[in-house]
Amino acid sequence: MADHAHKQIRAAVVAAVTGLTTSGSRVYANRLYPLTEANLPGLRVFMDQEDAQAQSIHAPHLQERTARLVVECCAKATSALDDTLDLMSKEVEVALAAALTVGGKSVQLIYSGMEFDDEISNQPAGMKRLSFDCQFYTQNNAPDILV
Amino acid sequence: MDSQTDRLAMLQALGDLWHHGGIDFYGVFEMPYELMLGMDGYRPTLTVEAAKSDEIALSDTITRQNDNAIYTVRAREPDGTGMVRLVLEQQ
Repeated sequence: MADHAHKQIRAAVVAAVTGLTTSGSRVYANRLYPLTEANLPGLRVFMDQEDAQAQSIHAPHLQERTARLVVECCAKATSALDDTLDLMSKEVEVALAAALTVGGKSVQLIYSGMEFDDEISNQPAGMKRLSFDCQFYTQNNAPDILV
Repeated sequence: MDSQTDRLAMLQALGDLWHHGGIDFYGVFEMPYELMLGMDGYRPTLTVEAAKSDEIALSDTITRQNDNAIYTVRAREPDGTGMVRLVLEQQ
């Protein structure tokens, strides 16, 4: 059995945003552990939530799923922090503009908005949280296979 | 703190000597770990007398005498008892 579709999509996004000019290889599909200085400027990729609707009443049924995928651009800098985060988000949006191939299927991410946050620190810390909607279909008994 | 004399005594006993605009003063420096938006961070602060803090504007730089470390003052947090915690940024 393949990985859950969520993991496959997340992995495809990680691959697509790895190697960008500003964040380079500092891409983490994990939001649990704090990023250290060595991880910055970096990207965190995760799924935040998902809505699903059955498309038929018999079992197994087809599900239309819309997952919210989040890419957090994280950086610390004493100057031009906003500029750095804007540049990072530009690079991410461009990288994710083309459809991803997941399990042999084309998956399009639709940019749905951004939240910004920053904090005073020994070096000011800032985060730009980009959200993307990702629609795909699976059977309810096979969440690892996109249809 | 009961009086300015008590506050000064406490700052001299526990603090370091700092420099701002040609004037030396005492302050208690702390830099606790803080998780900042999921990133490792430290929050340097300097506790000083409120009267002294009035002379220091936001964005001013202050220097610690013993190692010449320079910090920029980014926020002021009065505690209501005659002391103010200055929130600093490392330079």
